[in-house]
Amino acid sequence: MHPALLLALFATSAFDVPMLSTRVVDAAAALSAEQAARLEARLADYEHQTGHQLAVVIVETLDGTPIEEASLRTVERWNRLGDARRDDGLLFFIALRERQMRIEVGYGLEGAVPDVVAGRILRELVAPRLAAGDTGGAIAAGTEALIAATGGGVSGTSGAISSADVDPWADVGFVVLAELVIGLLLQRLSRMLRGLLVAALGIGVGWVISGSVAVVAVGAVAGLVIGALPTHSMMWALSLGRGGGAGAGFSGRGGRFGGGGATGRW
Amino acid sequence: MHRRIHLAAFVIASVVVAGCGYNGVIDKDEAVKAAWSEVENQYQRRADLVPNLVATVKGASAFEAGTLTAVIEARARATSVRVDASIIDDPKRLEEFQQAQQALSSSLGRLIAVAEAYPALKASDTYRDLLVQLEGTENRIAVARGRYISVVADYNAYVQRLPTSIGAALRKKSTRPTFNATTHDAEIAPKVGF
Repeated sequence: MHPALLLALFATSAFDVPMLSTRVVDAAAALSAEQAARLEARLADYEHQTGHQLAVVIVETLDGTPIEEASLRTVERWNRLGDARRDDGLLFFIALRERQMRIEVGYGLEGAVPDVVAGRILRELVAPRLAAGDTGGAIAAGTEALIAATGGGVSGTSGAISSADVDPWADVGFVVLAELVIGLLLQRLSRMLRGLLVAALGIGVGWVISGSVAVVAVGAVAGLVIGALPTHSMMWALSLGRGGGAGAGFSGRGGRFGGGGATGRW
Repeated sequence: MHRRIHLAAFVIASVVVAGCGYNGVIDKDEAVKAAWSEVENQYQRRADLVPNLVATVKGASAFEAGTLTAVIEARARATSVRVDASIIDDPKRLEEFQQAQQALSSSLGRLIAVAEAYPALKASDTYRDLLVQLEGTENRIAVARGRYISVVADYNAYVQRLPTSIGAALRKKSTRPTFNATTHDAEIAPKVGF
C-alpha cells in the first residue's frame, strides 16, 4: 500500500508524532540524561546481538488520540522499526499525562511476544513502578523483559500484507545506479546502442529485484536517458548518488506492524 | 538498422503496455485480496477467542445469563456468514458480514461492561489475560480494516482512472465495495479496558 494513503487514514488526529533520531525518544523529559544514555546503549547492544529493533518513546500527552493509533502512527512514521523481511520491530510507548502505555509488536515477533505476554509485562513489571513514581526503573524493567522474551530469535512472519508495502524508490535507485555504472563501462559504443543496452539492463535488473512493472518502466526510460548522456554527466550523476546515501542516523528498516501488542494503564 | 528499430519498438511497446495498467491491475488486485484475508483472519481470531471468554465468565458465580447468551448467539451468527473469495466483490454480502461482526462487537462490549460488577472475576489472571487478547484482537481488526479501506480506495482509483482503466477493463476488473468507515465501524466498538 502507498504510505500516503495509510497516513491519510489517520490525518484527522491531533497527536504530533515525535521524530525518531535515537532509540530512546524522551519528549516528556522523564528520564535523566544518564538513564537515557544507559538505555540507548542497552538497546543498541540488543539490536547488534539479535538484529531486532526496539525503541522507547515517552510523550507528555496523546492530545486525545487513542494510544493504539498514536503508537502505530509512530512506528509507521519512523520508517517502520524492524527488518523489512523479518518484521521484527518493537516499540515501548508511554504517555505520561493519560497514564497509558503500549507495547507495539511487529508481525515477526508476535510469536515471541504474544499479547498476553506484553500485557503481563505492562501490568506486573511496569505499572507498579510507574505508580510508585520510578519512571526510569519502570522503563528499564519493561525493556529488559522485552529483550528477554525476544532473545531467542524470530519466530517467523505471519499475516503478511503485500509486497507493495516495500519502498519502490529504493529499487529505482538501485536500478539507476546499476545503469550509470554499466553506461560508463560502455562509453565507447554509440549513444543510441548504449541507450538501448542500458535500458535492457535496467528492465532486467528492475524485474529481478522488484518484480514491479512501475520499477521496470522507470528503469527502461532512465536507461535510454542515461545511455544518451555524455560520459562526464554520468560521472557527475554517480557522485551525486553516492553522496545521498550517507549520513543517516538511527532509522527503522521497513518492518511491518498489524496492531499486535498490548495496552496498559497505571 | 532494422534490428535497432525492432529493439526500440520493443522497448516503447513494453512501456506502453506497462502504463495502461494491464499488468499493474494484477498487483492492485492481489493487494486487495491480501488485505481482505488479513481482515478475515482477525475476525476469525476473535471468534476463536469467544468460547474461552464465555467459559471463564460462566465460572464466575451467578453471572447474568442474558448477556452471555447474547454473546454466544452473536458469535454463532457472525461465523455463519458464508465467507469465500467472492465476498469482496459483493456489496450485499460484505454488508451482511460487517453487520454480523458489529453485533458481536456490541455484545462483547456489554459483556465486559457487566463483568465490571464482578470483582473476583475482574481480579482473576485468566480473565485479565483474555481481556488483553480480546483488546489486542479488536485493535488488529481496526488496523486490518483501516488498511483494507485504503487498499480498496487505491484499487478503485486505479481501475477508474485513465490510462490504467484500459488495462483493468481488459482484465474485467471493476470497482469494489468497501467498509463503511463512519457507521458500522469496529473502531467505535465499545472499548475494552480495565
